Amino acid sequence: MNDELKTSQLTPLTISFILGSALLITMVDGITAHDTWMVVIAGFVLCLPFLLIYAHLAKRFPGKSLIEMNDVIFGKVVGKIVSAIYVAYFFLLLTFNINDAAGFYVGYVMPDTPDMAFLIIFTLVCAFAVHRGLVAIAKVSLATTALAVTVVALTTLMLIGNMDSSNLLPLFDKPLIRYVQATQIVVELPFLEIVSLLMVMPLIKDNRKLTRSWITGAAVAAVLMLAIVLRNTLVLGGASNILGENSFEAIRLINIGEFLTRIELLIAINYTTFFFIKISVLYYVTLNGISQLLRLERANALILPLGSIAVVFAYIKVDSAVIHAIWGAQYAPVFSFPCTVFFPLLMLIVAALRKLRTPPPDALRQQEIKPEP
Amino acid sequence: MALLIIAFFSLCALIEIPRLARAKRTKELVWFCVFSAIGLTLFMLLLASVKIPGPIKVIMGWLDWIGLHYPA
Repeated sequence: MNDELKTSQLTPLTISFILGSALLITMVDGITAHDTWMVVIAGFVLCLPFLLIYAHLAKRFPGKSLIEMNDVIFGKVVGKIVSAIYVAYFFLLLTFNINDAAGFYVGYVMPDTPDMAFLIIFTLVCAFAVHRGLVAIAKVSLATTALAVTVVALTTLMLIGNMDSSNLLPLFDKPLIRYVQATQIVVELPFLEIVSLLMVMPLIKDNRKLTRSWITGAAVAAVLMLAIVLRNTLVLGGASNILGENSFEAIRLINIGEFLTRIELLIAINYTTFFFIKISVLYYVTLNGISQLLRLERANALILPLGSIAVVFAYIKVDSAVIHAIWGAQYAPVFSFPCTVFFPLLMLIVAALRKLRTPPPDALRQQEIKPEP
Repeated sequence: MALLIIAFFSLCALIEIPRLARAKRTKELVWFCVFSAIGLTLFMLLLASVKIPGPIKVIMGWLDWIGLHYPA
């Protein structure tokens, strides 16, 4: 599990990780309807300062994971408490995403198949990916990003004939609190969950281009998300906030010459690859977090037991789709706030006040030493 | 279904425990057993149709108690 992750591999990993939350756009559609495209733009702009905070923390403590940073910043006891909260957060995110992946398949692709089958299969595949290491997952993310760009571009082009620009009107017809709520969901749930990538900083030997990788990744993901939202809104119009999965429903309308039809499976393949990357990364960081908290040298032995616990939690996650929708719209942004906004801000403030930083790893320091004339 | 789950956990234990014992990785062996026991127990509870409270309901309950969530 100990390879080197290049910052160039971090960009596609970031893109695929953020797009792993593409399903939640349907939930945001239920709040802001045809104004969701503005929320995506606002969400991206508002996430930038926090991405800069994460990158700054990674550069201030090079080669240290989030848990090691907490120990340095907050001390051994408080640091461990904050780290335990983060590990619990990553574990819950893992279970939520496994459940979302299985729920998508049961809802749209194979409705007669029991949930548990998808939960177990997804988890086993991701467990194998974690066993191979994060660098292998990052290499796969290049292919998933290329697939995402291709599918979004193709499907948008094929639906141009079905688009009606009047579906974007009227603007700002909802109460302000709905825009604030939707923006917070978009900022925290897809974009700021990148905080989990702070756990993989020990794998990055040269982090000089870290900020650029993350900002580029977030920007590309935002553009793709915006394209998806605009496509769905322009095609579906008012139906977009009552349908289940808007991308699926929009792609169903593609019918070119009675030949090119029923290509909504492309969306299913896209979502599967996004979920695979996101779940694998969350699985990896949870395992890494647990191994650092328990001070284990290697945690490969815990991959399957942790996966089994995650499957059970994913299965019992929620009783009904209604409660899931209420959770996503009203509670999830508040749940994510401490780990994505509050703690990183606090870490930055405490590190700055106490003038804490760790020296760069040896390899980087040698590059910075200028040769004698 | 229960037999399949027990078979899966037994297979994992049969592979991992001797490997970790040979490598003298005692800490990992202990935590492997702890996590496997938790996973097996949860699965058995699930199969016995015991109502395990979901994490979302628990967190929603806490946030309702504090009063920190968006209105419907």
